[in-house]
Amino acid sequence: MTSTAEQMHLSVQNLNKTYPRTEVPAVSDINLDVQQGDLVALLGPSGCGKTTTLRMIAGLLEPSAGSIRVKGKEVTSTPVHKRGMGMVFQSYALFPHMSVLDNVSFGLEMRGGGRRGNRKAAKAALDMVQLGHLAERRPAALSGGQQQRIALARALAIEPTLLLLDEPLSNLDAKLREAMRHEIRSIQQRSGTTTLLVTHDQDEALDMADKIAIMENGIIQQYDAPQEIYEHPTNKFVANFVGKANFIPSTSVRQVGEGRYSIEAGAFGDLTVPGVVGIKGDRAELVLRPHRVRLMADGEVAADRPRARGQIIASSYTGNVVSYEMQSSDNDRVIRIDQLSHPADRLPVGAEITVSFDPEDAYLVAEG
Amino acid sequence: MVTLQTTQLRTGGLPVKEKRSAKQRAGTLGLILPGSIGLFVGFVLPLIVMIRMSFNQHGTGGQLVETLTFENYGRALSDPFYWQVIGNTLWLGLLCGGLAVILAYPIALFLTRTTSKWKGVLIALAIAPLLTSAVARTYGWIAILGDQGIINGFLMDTGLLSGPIRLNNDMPGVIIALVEILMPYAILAMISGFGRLNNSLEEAAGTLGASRFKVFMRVTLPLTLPGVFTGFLLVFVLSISSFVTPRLMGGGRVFILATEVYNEATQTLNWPLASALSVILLILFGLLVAGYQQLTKRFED
Amino acid sequence: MRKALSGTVITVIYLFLLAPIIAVFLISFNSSSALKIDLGSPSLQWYQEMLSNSAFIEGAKVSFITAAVVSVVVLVLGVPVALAIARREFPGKNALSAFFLSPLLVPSVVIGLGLLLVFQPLALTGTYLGIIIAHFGITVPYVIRTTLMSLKTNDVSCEEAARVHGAGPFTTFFRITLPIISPGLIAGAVMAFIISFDEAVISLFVAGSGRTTLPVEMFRYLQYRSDPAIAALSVILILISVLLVVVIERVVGLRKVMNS
Repeated sequence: MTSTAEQMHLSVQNLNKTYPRTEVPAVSDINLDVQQGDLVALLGPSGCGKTTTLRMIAGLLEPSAGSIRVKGKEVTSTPVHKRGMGMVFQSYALFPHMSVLDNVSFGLEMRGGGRRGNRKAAKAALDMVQLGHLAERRPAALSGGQQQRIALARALAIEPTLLLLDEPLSNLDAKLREAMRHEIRSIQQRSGTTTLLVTHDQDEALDMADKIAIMENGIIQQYDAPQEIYEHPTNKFVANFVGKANFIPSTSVRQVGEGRYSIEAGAFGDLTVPGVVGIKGDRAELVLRPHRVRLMADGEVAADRPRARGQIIASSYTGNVVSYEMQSSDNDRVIRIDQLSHPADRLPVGAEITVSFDPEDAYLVAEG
Repeated sequence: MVTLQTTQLRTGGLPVKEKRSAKQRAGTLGLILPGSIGLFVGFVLPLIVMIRMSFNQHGTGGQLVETLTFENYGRALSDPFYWQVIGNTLWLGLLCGGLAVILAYPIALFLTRTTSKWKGVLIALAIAPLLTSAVARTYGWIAILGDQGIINGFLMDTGLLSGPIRLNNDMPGVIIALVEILMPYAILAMISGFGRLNNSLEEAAGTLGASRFKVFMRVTLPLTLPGVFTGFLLVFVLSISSFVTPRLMGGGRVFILATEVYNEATQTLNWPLASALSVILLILFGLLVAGYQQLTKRFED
Repeated sequence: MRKALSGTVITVIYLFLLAPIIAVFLISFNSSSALKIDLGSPSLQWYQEMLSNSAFIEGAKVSFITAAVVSVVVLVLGVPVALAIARREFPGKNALSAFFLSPLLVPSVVIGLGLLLVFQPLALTGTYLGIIIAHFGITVPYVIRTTLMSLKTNDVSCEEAARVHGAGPFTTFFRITLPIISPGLIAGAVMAFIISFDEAVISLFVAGSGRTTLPVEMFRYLQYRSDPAIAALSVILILISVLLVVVIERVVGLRKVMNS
């Protein structure tokens, strides 16, 4: 444990926070190791403790217990202004009474150094976010996206040991948000700054992060690379929170190998599927992503694939994707199917269909 | 638990948490202590001394006798004159509160609704008098209502009257002046209380077929009632504690608690009685404020 | 028709509201000592009269000095309290903020009498120190309120951003917090100045036979005479108030201050 913690850029151990006059801890036993240069996203619904965790790492909030180490050095008791971190706030928190350049050079100035050097470095940081030409303006005169980038430049100008981003994109409109994702990610990679991103937006986390920590009720549910999180969720919460999922109740669960189970999946019958290691008991749930469910053509045979028949009870159209809800014929469960849309073959509600999937695309998790 | 111990070891002795929060507590105390001492000396201590004084005795020779007696309260509450004074005080408050609310209501409604580009100026005109000296404005009313004042002068010059009518030096003059002086408070309270009112609600009621009168009674009035109550209470409370206007406009003929406190304190020099009267005024005041808070609570529920 | 009626009602009420100020203004230019409006031959004699009244001049000096000192003292002592209430967690916080607003809930006569009782034995009546202490209690609620208002409308994240990026508590306060809330502070100080300058009742109690403020001098004068000298003085006072009101309006907006 200790040896890995020494190598890690950021190592959080058993971090706890219980607010005064509350019973339930806001954050309990958070362990998080972040490698140099990585961008790690803390993803979860509001109130899950992700912001609390970030604020403790920043030093804005005192942990009830636990330790935080940066580059192997204990910083748990270091005052916030001596931690050398950079942070972008949800509201950007630009100083309204200072010019853009003064905002960006603020952190440098706090570290001492010559005024000219500071201004040059601040100017460079502004150029990095392509806003060098706005240096003399006041923040209030700028658009949300520009303010966001200035906040980023301010945080990066001090070459922080750790860059903390607290819901940085939530105040931007959808189009701009997507553009900014890529811009932040590319600046982060170019500067090689180890970064922690708090977000409730799964697309943002999947798109930007090297690793994602899924949080719920103050606990990290899973900490993994985005693809692992999506393909191999460790529990029902994670599967449900990241991406869309069908949960097919499965019985007669029997382990047949390391992370492989034989199950009886309702209308789909007996299957062998991959799953979380160590599921106990004979009941579990099979995670099946809607876009991995295939509509079968009439008369198509696929002997080796599980299949179920049913009737379309609802459909919705979102441009590129058509989603159907199918009530399977044994009344077992509603299954959601996402298909890339094509104007010619949209099925009407009430149509009888057969669906199938590749068992290797599904994943078994314990009952939620 | 284990982690907590390691943290303690690292910082040597005191756990980090306690060290930091002790420092923070000291900082907080440093922030609030000087101001609190100031307020204690300038406000709390005088009240304590005054309450203690109300149990002392005013000796026959005018000297102060340190003792513990309810004599002053007994005297104040058994003398019909003081009952009259308390009655006058409450009457003045009720009348001023009622009149101020009646006059402030149309102004507040107008200021809430108007879309005129002069809105800012009109609001300033309505509430800026608050920031001009009460003595100056009372003087203005003396000039208007006095025996040789503008109204009497005009009436006599034009031959409508042979002698002046008494507008000043009596209750009506005090009430007129106080209503004007305190009305801005009512306007202010109402403007902020009328937040829930918006034109679309009234328009909606109108499109549903309610007559103008009905719209007012069923929509406008209920929505504005909390603001009206606040305005009333504010003026009531301010008028029962007013002193300059009753004293100057009343010309010594209007007796309310505030003027009696002043007389006993500075003319008769009967400090214990002045203190007892002050405590009575304070209690009246407290009851009204508490009653108001109960009422607003019920309104909000 | 309806519109004309309501317009008339509004105008009449406005006239009532502004009547004493208008009357005072017109009378101050009278050429006789009568209180009637006499626009035939406007004169400035009452302004001269006022300026030659040494009691008024002395009172004005006392009022200016106390109001200026009070508005500074009340800022220096009141702002830290507001800061603690808005930005720190401690037990008894609600009680503390109620305590600092409570002087608004006590009639001036009562405070005035209490102060007289405390000051008399200490020989503080009729002194600068006495008047300043007396005015502190009644002005501090306004400063606390305006400061709290500006602290609450400007969220903490600017201060947090400063801390994270390397500023210690003091630097954060002087470089970030103070400049951001300064409009509220100016408004609070101006309010304190006006209240202290116009206050008559408490000053009357603590005046004794010593120094006293302009409103008290005016009050005493008015008990015996009511000639237009007071009108001339009132016009000056009203103009000062208007000037200060314009300052508040320019800096933060009048309604915001009054509603807070």
